[in-house]
Amino acid sequence: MYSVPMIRKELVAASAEPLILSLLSKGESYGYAIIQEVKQRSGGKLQWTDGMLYPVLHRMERRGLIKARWGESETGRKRKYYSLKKDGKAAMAKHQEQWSLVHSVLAGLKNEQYV
Amino acid sequence: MFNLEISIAEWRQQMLAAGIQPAALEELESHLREELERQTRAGVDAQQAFESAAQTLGTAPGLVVEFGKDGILNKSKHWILTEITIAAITGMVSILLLCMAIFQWGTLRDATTGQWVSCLAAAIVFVLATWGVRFGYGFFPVIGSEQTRNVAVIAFPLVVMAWWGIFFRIVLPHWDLTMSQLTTCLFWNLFVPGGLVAGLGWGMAAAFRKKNILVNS
Repeated sequence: MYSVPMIRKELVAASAEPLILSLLSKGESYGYAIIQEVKQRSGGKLQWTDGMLYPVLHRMERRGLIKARWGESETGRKRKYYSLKKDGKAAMAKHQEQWSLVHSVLAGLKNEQYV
Repeated sequence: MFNLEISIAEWRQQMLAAGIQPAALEELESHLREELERQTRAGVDAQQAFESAAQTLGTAPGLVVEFGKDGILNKSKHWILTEITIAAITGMVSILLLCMAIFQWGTLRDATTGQWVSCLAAAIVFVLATWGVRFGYGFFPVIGSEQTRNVAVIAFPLVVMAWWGIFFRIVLPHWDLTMSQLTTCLFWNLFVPGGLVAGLGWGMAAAFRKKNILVNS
């Protein structure tokens, strides 16, 4: 069976922000859960060095795209939850538009190759 | 014998020594513990789980580079300090002026109703100029050119200082004022222009910063 190779690190880095924004648009979440969900949804092909997520989250928080609050897990451990702000929703829409465009150009070119 | 808590404490020390901020470390530790929990639930022994969890989290030098990538980190601290300083100074002057005017403190003890109202108005203008502009900076034009910003930063205070010079050296000596008249004059000619310039600079800096953060990176 054809298998997709691991995604290159440049692409992983570029996709981090749109993925985080899109995940948070479903509701608030925390670093560990975000990483697990991306891993699971990509079948393990999209792997972040776990710690690298946090500087990205903090940057997005400072830019006013997301906000954070400290809460607790079911077992009482401290957890930092992130949620989307208004500017984050706008940024997400922009990202999705751009990625869709890249995708449609790629898909169009791919189809033409088989004509 | 492997001790999980000691290992975590050592890991924390390494991260702190490398320069990771305590607030960020709290979050990283929370992540580390989530991963440890998941692995031990899956039957991995504690030592192995700790080693692999620490490894996937990343090395201390690598994380410091990632956290440091964005220069905004330091600038943001610098900016917060600047804002606190401006807020403290303008806040104290605001309170002092308002109290002086409202309760007729010090040189305003013998003020006439007219002088009293005038001082109160000046104090209110000062407060509005400094704080109103700070919170209404959304309406401010953002000056993109660094050169123009620098010129503005130097020129505005210079204009006010020049006015203060003219006022104290040339205008005041020609007037023979009572203490309460003098105080009213100082309210309008010393504090109001100072407040306007402080508010203007503060508002412009805030507007520039807000735009820069949203557009860049």
